[in-house]
Amino acid sequence: MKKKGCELFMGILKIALPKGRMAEDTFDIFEKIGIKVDWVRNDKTRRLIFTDHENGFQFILAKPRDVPTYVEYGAADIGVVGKDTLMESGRSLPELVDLGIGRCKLIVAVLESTNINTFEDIPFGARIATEYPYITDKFFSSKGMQVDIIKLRGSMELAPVVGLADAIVDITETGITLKENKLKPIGEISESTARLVANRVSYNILHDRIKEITKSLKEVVKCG
Amino acid sequence: MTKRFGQIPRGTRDFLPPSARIKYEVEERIRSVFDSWGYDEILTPTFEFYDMVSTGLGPEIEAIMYKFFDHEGELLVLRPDMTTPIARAVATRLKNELKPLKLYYISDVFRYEDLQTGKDRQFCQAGIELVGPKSPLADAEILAVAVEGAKKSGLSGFMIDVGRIDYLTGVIEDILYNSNVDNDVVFKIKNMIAVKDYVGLEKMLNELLSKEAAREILDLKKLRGGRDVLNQARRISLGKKASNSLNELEATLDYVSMFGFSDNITIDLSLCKDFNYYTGIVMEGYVKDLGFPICTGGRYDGLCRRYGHDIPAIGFAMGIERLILALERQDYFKKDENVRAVLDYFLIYDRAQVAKGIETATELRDKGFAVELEVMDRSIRESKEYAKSKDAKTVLCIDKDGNVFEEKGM
Repeated sequence: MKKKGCELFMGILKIALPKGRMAEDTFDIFEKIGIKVDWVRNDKTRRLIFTDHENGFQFILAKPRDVPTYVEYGAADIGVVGKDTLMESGRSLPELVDLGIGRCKLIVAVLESTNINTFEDIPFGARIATEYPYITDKFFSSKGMQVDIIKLRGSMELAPVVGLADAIVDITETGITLKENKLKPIGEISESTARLVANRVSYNILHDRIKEITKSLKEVVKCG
Repeated sequence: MTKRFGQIPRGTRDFLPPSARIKYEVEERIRSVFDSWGYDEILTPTFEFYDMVSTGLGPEIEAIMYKFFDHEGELLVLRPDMTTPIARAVATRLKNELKPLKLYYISDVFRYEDLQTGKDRQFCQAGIELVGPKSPLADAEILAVAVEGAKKSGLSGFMIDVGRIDYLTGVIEDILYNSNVDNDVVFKIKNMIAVKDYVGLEKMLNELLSKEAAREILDLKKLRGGRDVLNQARRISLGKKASNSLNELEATLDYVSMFGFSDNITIDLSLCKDFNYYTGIVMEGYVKDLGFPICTGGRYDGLCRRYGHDIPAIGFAMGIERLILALERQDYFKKDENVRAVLDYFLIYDRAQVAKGIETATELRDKGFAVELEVMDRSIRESKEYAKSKDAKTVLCIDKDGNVFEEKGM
């Protein structure tokens, strides 16, 4: 990715913002620390890159799954991404702030009608449908359990219902979707919130600006 | 014929003309810097015994080595770095040489990197190892050669972060001295600091330590900047290990100043790389144009001992592919003066004058010029088009009477 001359001159800080579930809360928290993003939020076009030359920011709207990639390569200097997505990417990125937004739990769930009530009840070689194959593999390995992982891209709750899987590993916020699909959570893998991550080199080069943003975000998170 | 016909393994690349020449030129510029500091080249085999290499490496690199068996069932690896083979050679074959040993390499190494990260699986490293002296001046020399190497290759804005693993370990141990924690906590802390997982670190410390101790460790990342950082660092409660380390670092910075490149150095006492391997100064070099570090290194006094000869050593390695990528992003190759045309002459000749063409070409080559003789039977226009594509400095034409003249307007 070529950097345009004007970007360098203006000292542009590139921020990758997640589309989807966490978008609104992310915009809110940046507004709170004084970084103008409402114009990005309110943009009705399909634009994905928004440059604020005056204040020295460039906002890149990306699929949450892609934020770690953008940041690792330096296409974005910092980014907001859920810990679940970050862990699944397997990328190790400097993690600066727990933003407290996008809170959810990564859980294992099965059909209410089954006899499975704990992790240990899951049979050897059980089929687990998930959007998080890496985390799922690591988790069950750490428990010494062998399972068959079925990677799906969405609507995990369908899999047990149609007999595609014995269990699912999915994120849940309220638990309502699970209930509606007659699924019961049998255990929690981890909790997840949105994090501010940074590119390793950008963290050095743009250290002061990133430090400032980190400090402001921490204060806002603390005060709620 | 398999489906993969025409493809090359993921993570590898062809360097087609002119990329191969560009790579070569960049390597040669760095080589000239190494030569000018009195370093000698060392070459080691492309593959080594697994046992030999794993003796020296940390688990992270061990996990990504290309392993294979030879016909006798011996486990071999494609070398994943150059430092361990050199440590092997130093400990077994050079231990009686006069010190210091100053060695350099420009060699390909191989790592089975995760596809996700888009990293090369075969890449070239240019680096040096300075074996024998354990002194701040030796540390400063490594930094100096790295800075000069980067500059000579054409890179601008090259910065190196410099830290001390022994300081960090010493300070963490001091801070934890009165806390009741397991031994592996220091390891976990250093791990998180190494990857800069400050969120995870804060959560872990808040559970394990007192508020003050947790805060002290989290504040270590503030030890970043110019020489004033050393004063800050001294104000933290210090044991011998940490304060010796700072004294050495200060001396190193004095030498850096004498060498004249203080502007390229940032102190970062939270820099924590491969801490199983490094024992003193650590360094990471980068430019703002690339999201990955270009250069990495440090002092690793314990390595040669593992190969049977206890001797201090320090070195760094620069990733050539990354260096070239950074140069491209700096539009370095867009400036005409930075790209050398290699072909001096392209010779076109009338069909009747082949002999004269060959004679002229030979004469010019004897004089040291790079000459290409047209070998295809085609029109002058086509020949000129080709000559242009080869960036020939001069096109010579030999007419049917054997007159040699320079073609204008090329």
